[in-house]
Amino acid sequence: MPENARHNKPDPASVKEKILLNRKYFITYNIARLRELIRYLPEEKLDLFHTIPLLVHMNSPDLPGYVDHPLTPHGVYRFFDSGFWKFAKKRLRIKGEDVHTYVLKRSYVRGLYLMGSSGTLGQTEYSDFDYWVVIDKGSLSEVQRALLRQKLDSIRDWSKETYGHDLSFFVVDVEQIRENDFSGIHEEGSGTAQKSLLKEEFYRTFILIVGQIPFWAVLPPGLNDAEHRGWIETALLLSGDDFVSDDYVDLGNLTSVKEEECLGGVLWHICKAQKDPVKSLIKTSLIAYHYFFQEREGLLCDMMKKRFPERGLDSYLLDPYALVFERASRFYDLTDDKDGLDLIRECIYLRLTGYPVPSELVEDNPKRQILKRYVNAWSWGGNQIDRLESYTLWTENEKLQFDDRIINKISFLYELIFRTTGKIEPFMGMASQDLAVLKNRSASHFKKKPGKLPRCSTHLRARRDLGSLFIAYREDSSGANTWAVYDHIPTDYADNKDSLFVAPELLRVLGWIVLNRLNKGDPSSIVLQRVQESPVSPKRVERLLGKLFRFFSNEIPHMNYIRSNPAWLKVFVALNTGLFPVDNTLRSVDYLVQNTWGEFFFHALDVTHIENNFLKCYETAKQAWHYLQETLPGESEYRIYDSRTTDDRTTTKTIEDFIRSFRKSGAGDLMDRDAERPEKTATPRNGRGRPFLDLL
Amino acid sequence: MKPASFLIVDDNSVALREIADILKYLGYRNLHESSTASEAWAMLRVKEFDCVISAWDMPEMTGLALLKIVRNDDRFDQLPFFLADSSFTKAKVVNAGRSGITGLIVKPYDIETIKGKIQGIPEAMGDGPPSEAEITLDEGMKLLESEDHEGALKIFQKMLDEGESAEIYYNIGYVKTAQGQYPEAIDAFRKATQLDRLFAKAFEAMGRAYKELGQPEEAEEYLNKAAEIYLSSEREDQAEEVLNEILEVNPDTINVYNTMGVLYRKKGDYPTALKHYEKALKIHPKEPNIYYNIGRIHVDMKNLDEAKSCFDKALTLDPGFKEAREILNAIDIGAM
Repeated sequence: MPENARHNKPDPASVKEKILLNRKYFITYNIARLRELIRYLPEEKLDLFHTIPLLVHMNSPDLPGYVDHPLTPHGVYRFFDSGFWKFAKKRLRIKGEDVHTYVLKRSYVRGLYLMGSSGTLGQTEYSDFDYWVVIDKGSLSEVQRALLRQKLDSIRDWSKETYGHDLSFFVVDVEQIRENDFSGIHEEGSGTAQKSLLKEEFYRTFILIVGQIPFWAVLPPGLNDAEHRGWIETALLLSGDDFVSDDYVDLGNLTSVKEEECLGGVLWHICKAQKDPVKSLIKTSLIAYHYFFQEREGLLCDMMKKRFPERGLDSYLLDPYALVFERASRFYDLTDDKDGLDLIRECIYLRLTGYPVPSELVEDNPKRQILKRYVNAWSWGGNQIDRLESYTLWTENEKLQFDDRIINKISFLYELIFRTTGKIEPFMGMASQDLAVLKNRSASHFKKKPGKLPRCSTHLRARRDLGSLFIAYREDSSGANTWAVYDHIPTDYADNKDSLFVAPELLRVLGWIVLNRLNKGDPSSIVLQRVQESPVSPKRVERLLGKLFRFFSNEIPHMNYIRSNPAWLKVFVALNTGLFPVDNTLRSVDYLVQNTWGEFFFHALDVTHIENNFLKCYETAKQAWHYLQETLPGESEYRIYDSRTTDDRTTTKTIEDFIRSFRKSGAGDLMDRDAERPEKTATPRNGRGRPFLDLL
Repeated sequence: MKPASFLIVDDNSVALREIADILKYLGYRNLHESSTASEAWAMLRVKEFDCVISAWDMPEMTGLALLKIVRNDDRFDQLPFFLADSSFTKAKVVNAGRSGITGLIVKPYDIETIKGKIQGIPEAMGDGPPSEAEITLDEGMKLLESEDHEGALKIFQKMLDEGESAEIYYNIGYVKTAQGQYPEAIDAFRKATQLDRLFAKAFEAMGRAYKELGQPEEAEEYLNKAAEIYLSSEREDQAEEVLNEILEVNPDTINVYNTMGVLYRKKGDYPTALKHYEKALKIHPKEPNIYYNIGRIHVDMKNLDEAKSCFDKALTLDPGFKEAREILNAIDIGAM
């Protein structure tokens, strides 16, 4: 036993008394959280929630999540004593003796916990369930760990298929949690970027589902590491009917959030902001608060714990999210950042109403109650409330501006922390690969590049009620022809102001839809609305869109952010798209290109001044090769789509032959190959050219 | 003109207090304190200050480092910045001078030195005059205090012409009540509550006006509304006062006993809360909400078995009682 631990060892009787009292407080708190979780769950998802612990506990061919291998680890500590088992027996009409054959004698899972917004004011109907599955890594072989992962993945997939609900299982080892090592957590960079930040969030938000109670929850708040050890060592020696030391697990102490982790944490949230900027700003503001003011006011999880005894039902002000809201706002208050304070309040308001898809809250909803308090405390007038209440009616541009305002504030916080790190090594302890991934992901969001297609607003991407999208070809106020996307049927009189996206080229507009995965990739839900005579028929738009969705489909499950310069991945070449059919001449070539960071680029090649089709094919292939040459064969692919009505495949074939020959001859740098270009091509030539290679 | 704002930075809390006291003595009220340079930098980035006084020696980041960061930012190149230390070596003076210091202050701080240093800052100034609206409201309130109701009314009416406000309507209601013109007073209080739906004082005054008119049901309704707002905004004492007033009007009202129960639960006085609920149950023994509320108190008292039996009872009385079913579900899966 360490020397200081011996000094800090409290007497056993008081340890037992205190732990048992605190356990009572914690269990009531846990019940209050479970009640909130149940409140916000629709009936069918409540069934799912009741079933998950059973599926982790048992490995039965009759149940989802079955893995056909005798070594598959399963079993959660004291599951059969839990209410979940009672529910399962009742619902599935299981008799006790039927199941023991599927249950191992030992429980591999020491505890199943939910963390995050579940059971808080932040929970919505669509909130994911983020489970932490705590195991003893040492007691499982590598094969068993893989089998457990397989089982949990299978439960996750079943949940998605059957209930349409997202689940995540983070398998974490007891020893690693104690050391704040979350490198096993799957999300890119989150484990090594956050460490004590993640531990703080876990302690602040976890709900015990089944298994052992973390000692942290029943020990007095504010213990230093030696005192924490002393208490646990004493507790482990205790016995008696009312105290079973196996009911508890030591997941480690937490005295502070490490300053050097804050920057990595903010960087992580910059990346997460692409999915939900409001949530990210709230979390980033909390990190900034920890960074600048934790010494003054202590950790938020400790404050939560101090108030466990007060927590009863409907104690909304003691909700973990309410405390986060309070501290996040306090950061701007303490720094006198009026703009920041306004923005965080707007974010809190929208978060409580269900952003990114806010909806009206019924009168007795706790979120409405707490909003009333906030609005009163903030002295908000009707105009401010009405503005936010009508968020769903804002134009796409207004929503994008709001998203940008948030992203700018998060970037400001990043810069603020970065410039004040002083002697601290800002990304200390973070795996270099994780850091590179986070930096690149963030760059992919922020960097403006020529031709890059923009992302749509968070709201539009998250909308589940999005019916058909309408594309209209029309003349805008300046007389230019444009293609515009609407979420409603555009009228003859409507201009492009209420459109979602406008561009002069059809492929650019379709590329924007594909990039943002609107309408889940279903081309039939995208309707070409004839406002004025359109150069293409609805059927052709649908066919082109179908090709795009298939070509850019989910073949890239994971964007590769390791390389600091993304490589081109997929090149779609569209010939004569969006033009009125005049004759069979090749008049336009458009490119839609995706890179390994998932970014989409549009490029239009002007071929009108090139005198014949053969040379046009050469230029078209050259531009395609410009993208394709950067990657190794097999890594990238291209498609050529000819919109012309003819069945003649000569043009496509000629372009393909050029590309093939470029690849064969290893033409690396096109600038060098300008010399080999046939005469009268698009690019001006200097000096005498060499005869071009016979590539056909 | 706005008051001069100071950012004072020192990791030594005693020294920080000293400099704050001196500045207050010199008449400066807009003071912001920070115990670390990094925190000070965070504050500087988001708020405008007229002057910074920072200790030189501080852990993590020194005052000199803060000065360098500040001067590195174009927005702060003219910001008066003083560094304080117990002594200054020649090297320190040169270093500070090169970094763009405004002046050095030798610790311990004394009034004359600080006064002398600050006098050189053109931005140092006093508080600005109050706004025209503030003057008008003050005038009205003074007239109200001196019971010049007509005079006060004229001022409030004039202010209404410039824009509606819940407070002004409340004041008009107050004057009308004092003049015994209860219907007009009720009208003004109603307008105040329409503008601010959580204006408890206006609901309370409206209830009293109804009481004076001999309309006990309306009086109870608005007093109860006021009590609920007081309760939800944690002003329990005011809530209790209003609830007792309702009991004077109608001693057999289940709602008041129920609200009293809520009030005492919020105060943490569970036995008294339970007594009020018992009274409510005597009037209405089959009211599921009361059982629910009693169950809630047992949860607060951490008596989960008793709580469960109350929620069971509430659910038996009303099988569609969603909240009771949710809590029972949570207790079933959460109680170990």
